Amino acid sequence: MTLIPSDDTLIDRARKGDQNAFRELLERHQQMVARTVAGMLGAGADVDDLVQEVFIRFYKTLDRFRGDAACSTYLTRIAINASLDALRRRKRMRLRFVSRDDETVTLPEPGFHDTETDRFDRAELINLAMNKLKPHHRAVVVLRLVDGYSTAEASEILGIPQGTVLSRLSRATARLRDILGPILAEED
Amino acid sequence: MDQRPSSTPRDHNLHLHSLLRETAEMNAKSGMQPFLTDRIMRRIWTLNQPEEQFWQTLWLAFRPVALASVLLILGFVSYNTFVSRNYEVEPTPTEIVFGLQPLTLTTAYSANLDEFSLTTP
Repeated sequence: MTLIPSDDTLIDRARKGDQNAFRELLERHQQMVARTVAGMLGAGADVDDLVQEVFIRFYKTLDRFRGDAACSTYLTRIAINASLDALRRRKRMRLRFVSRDDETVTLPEPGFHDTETDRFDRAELINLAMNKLKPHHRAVVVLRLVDGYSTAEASEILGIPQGTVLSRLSRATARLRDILGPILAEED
Repeated sequence: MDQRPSSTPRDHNLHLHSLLRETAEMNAKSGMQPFLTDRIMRRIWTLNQPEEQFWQTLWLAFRPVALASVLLILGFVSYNTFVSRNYEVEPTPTEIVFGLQPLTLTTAYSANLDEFSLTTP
């Protein structure tokens, strides 16, 4: 029987220069990081560039990782910070080149069915609704609702008090419910 | 009359939760290109080899110039060797390669010009 090495063991080996150990960590957490990044940025070609950036930042800071938090929590923190940086860069680009009025949320025709096209339309609408949230509110929504972290864990990852996490989550979900209300009501 | 809504805010939250999760999964799948793991590992490998990478980059940048220079030098050497076959006085290998003629300004104005005659009949 072969034992599956823990994340800590793999990190120790990677610190000593074992690239196969780092590869295993990468394969183990890649999907989770991609989901966090995609939750923050929405669909786009830059998701995998950012996933790459997250793992390179992780590799560069392996020596500083003390193991106080789980590897996945540490990676999520890097992913959120990298995504917030990317959103700032996007905002600067948009301010330079594009009018801010061009992104309007259009609700689809009523009567969603569960076809592939409907799922795609719905995903597009949800991405637009998420884009309407402030980046820090979006981070809370992704951590709590997409990644499933607890309020305490989200507060630790973002470095903010739990009360702030709760208030941001409350405001963000209210805003999302406002935008997505018809879809939520229809599908219930 | 019962005015209770058919769905409660808690239902909405659960539904919102599953919609957001599903969308994030879809975004992640559509944004990920194949061989990402290999790409990241290659980047990490190059991070570990900064010196080798430096020389490799330098070699790649100057390779065309280096090849052209080598060809040019070989061309000159061949030409010099070809031309030096006509010299009456046996030149040294250095003189052949660099195309140096035994007659220099100093020897041309020398009082003993006979010693350096190139056109001895």
